[in-house]
Amino acid sequence: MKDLIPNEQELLRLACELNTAALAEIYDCYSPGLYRYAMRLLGDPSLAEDCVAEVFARFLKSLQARHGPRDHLQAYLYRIAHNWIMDVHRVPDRTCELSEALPCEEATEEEAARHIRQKQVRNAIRSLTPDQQKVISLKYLEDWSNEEIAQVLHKPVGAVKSIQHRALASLHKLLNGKKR
Amino acid sequence: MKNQTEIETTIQERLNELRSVPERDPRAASRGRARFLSQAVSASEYQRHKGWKLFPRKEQFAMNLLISIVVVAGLLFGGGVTVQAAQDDLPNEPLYGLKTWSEELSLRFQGDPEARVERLMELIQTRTQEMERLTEAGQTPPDQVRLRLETHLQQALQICSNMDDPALDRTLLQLRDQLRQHDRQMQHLQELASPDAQPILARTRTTLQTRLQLVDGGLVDHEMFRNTIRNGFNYGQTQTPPPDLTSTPPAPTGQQNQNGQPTQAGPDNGSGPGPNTDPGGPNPGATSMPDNGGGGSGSGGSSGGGSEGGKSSGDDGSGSDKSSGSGSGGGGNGP
Repeated sequence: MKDLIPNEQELLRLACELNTAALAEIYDCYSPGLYRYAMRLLGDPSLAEDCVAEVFARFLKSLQARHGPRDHLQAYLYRIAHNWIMDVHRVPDRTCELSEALPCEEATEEEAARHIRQKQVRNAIRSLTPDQQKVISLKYLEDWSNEEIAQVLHKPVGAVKSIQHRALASLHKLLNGKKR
Repeated sequence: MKNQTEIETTIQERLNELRSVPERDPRAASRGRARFLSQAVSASEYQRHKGWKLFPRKEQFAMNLLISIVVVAGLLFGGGVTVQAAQDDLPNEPLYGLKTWSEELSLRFQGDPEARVERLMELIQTRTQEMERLTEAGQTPPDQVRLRLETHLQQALQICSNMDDPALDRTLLQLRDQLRQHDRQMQHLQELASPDAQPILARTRTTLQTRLQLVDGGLVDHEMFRNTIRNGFNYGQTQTPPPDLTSTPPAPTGQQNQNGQPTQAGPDNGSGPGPNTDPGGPNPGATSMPDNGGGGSGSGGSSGGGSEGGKSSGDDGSGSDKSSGSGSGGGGNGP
């Protein structure tokens, strides 16, 4: 993960004043990444869009209530996103919706198989504890460092490593117990 | 340790299945952006209004005093009475020039683009009323009234084209409603009008309807709207007037516009005011806004309205962390 906004502190200060230009810049910087993150974990474009909308709506609300973040904005936004995604997961499972616009018949079979594999991985991640989910998705899907993940979890780096270790073991068990 | 590395590699491979993400729908993305910015603008305005209440009592007093002085000075000079008296004049009456001059003056005092468009909409209304009064009196409205109406409309659209997406949506919606109303009014007038007045009313309707089409299109696609206005809106070439109006006979000869020039008699050919009549000039800030496609007023996702969106369990989803006890809810404010 890289610092997407070099002058984040200044931008956050302006955002706290509800400066629309600053808010727009924050949105433009973080919404694509948040969308990808939500897509990876949810696999549904409309849900991913909802997630992005909800993250920024909550961010705005917290700024209005003067409870907005003072630093580590990215960690803050991803934390909201992840919690929202877990809320969605609590809703009874949706049917696996195959893409409606598959290019051709040959691609359909391969696409369906990939879809099933993705669903298996998502289900396995979903079976982990919330902290383990965050560590796995941020580290292995978003390439965040342990230090950055520690900011999201509000935990020391050592704790992150330990969560990662346990999460990998659980995932290994979950995924190897199923046919690929 | 080796075992751990192997596990990590295996898991990494499986997780890589999730890495590829289909490209985001740009329209949905721009809708989301527009929705957020609209929320941000509302929040910002709300805070600003709240901030006014916090003005020190002393400043409020100074403001009240200033307003009082301006009002008293206005009353003393009495010029306002004459200008006020001119407001009811029709184009064939002596104080009409003063009326239009005062209108132009009032426009110059509108600094805010939205307020200026609002004022222009009032002026469009005034022109329509003038036509109505003249027609009801059995007279033919002069073409200068239509030209003025077209100028106001063009100025309003020009200002709109420089607005950001949320403001553009709001303003175009108002403009659309008003144009529809005027169109209906013109239709009604056509039924009452004498044959002499028919051509001018028909041309006015054409002007209103073509602009209405543009506004409708603008609500769907902001960028198209901006480009159309910037490139000059030649509705005579690019858009087809309604079929019932295409056979409009030429205007009676001998009419003159406000400059004493003979007016164009044929169907509206775009020879009216050019696209760059905005007294405020272009707004560079607006041009830097990316395309927000289908408008930002909330036809997209279900949860743009905040945490009341049904799916979330709390204000910031903090309930999600219960099982781990980490307490790192979404609304956490960092250290």
